[in-house]
Order: sequence, then structure tokens, then C-alpha cells
Amino acid sequence: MEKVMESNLIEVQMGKMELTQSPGKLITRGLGSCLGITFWDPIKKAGVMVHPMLPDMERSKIKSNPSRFVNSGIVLALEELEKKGCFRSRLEVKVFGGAHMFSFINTDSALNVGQKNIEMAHAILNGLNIKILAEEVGGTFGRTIELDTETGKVVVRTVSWGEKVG
Amino acid sequence: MARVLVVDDALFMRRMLSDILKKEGIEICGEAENGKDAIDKYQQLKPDLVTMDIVMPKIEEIDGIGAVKEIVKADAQAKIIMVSAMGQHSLVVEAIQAGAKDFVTKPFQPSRVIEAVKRALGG
Repeated sequence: MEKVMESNLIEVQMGKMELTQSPGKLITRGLGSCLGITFWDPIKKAGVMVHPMLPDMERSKIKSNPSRFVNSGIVLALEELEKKGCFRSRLEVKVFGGAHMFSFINTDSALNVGQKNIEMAHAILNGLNIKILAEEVGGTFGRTIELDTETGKVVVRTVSWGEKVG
Repeated sequence: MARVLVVDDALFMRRMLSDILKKEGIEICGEAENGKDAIDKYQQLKPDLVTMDIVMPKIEEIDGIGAVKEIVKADAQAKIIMVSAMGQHSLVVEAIQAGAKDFVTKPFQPSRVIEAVKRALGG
């Protein structure tokens, strides 16, 4: 629990986006079918974490919160990083989450939001020719992710297999 | 030398983008002031890259995104960079899904425009 007390640790709530610079850290706890997408610029040591819940802003009636959706969340993150003088070509982008949380829904069902979220992230990042440096997605379990803007490393924690660094 | 078509309804913005790119040794092969004009000039000039203002008045039902769709339909390899303003996320998403390769957000830094153009030309 002592990490929660660190003043440089910023919690990214569901449907939100946060940007910080070194020595700041960004954390999302208990990602299920939502995505946690991290962007890091090694020169500016600036990072963004966005925590979208649904794949497509176009399919939503409410378009006021771009960080709720995967496609507009990526655009918002890139826009915010651009404001800070970060270049696309040096960004390290990583994708987490998109789990299949409800076993009564088939994995290939249109209701598998996690899978739709992953597919949308791939489509938008691929469209913008942005490589995904690391990915830890799918499965049937929740994840907690933490981005360190000093090193660009992302720690992924799950209940089932403990901790990984990507 | 790379050849670029600059599309924007504002003359000063076309001038600004042209000046930024010319300083990098990039040739401005043409300018267009609306989406319809952009489609015609793309066919004539066959540029290596297009910068496309995302919000322009509709001419014959074609705006900036409409022009992206038409150009990509005619040339799947077309390289188009959108020029947007802060907060136009929905339009940017639509443009990317229509085939635009990148976007720069106004007010932009010249270095960011150059990066976007070079990255799109290289990739």
C-alpha cells in the first residue's frame, strides 16, 4: 500500500487519460475488457496512459469524452503529446487489457468488448503507421499496469501469474 | 525530390505549410482550396503526398474527409496527412479510418509538420 502514497503516482480512472513527465508514474488498476494504452517519448521522458472502455466513438451517441473510446482515445493521446513537443516517430506504444471477462459470452461474439477494443487499437495504430512495441492482451483475467516515465518500462500485474515487465 | 499537394481553404495556411516544406527541400507541386479541387489536382499532378485541411466548406457535397475517401478509392497508396484543430477527435478518427496516414494539430510546430511528412513519405 505504500506505493499509493507516492506523490508522483497518478491514477488513470476508467474512461480517462493522463499525461505526466519524469519522475511521474501512471497507473491503472484492475483493467478488464477495457484497454490501457501507454505512449512514451524517451527524449521528453513524457508518458500518456489512456483507459478507454469501448472501441468506437462513432457508434456512441455521446461524443464528449474521447478518452472513453479506443479510436478517439488514441487520437487524443497523440494530440496531447504533440502539444508537449513529442514526435510520433520516437514514441513507444504498448497495449494492455482487452480481457474476456464474461464466460457466458462466446469469445467470437460481438459482445466480446475486449476483443473489439484490441482490434480497434490495432486498426488505428496501424493506420497511423505506429508500431506496437509490446502487448499483453486478451485472456480472462484482470491486469494492473504501471508506466514509469523515467524508464518507459511498464509493469503488468495479474492475480494469476504475478508480475511482468515490458 | 518529394512533391506535395497542399489543400486548405485558407490562403495563409497554404502559404505557411508551403513555406515550411519548401525550406526542407520539398517541392509544392500544387495547392487546392477545397476537397473537390483536391481530387481533381490529385489526378492531374499525382503528388507523393497531400496535406488536407480537415474542415473546409463542402463543394459538390465534398469536404476534406470526402476528398480523402475519393483519393484513396482512386489510389490505395495515397499518402494524406490531415491538418486538424484541437478537439476534432471524431473527424480525425473518421479520416484515419478513411485512409489518412497521420494528422497534425493546429497550432502546430514546423518541426512536427516536417516529421509527419517525412515519416509518411518514408513508410
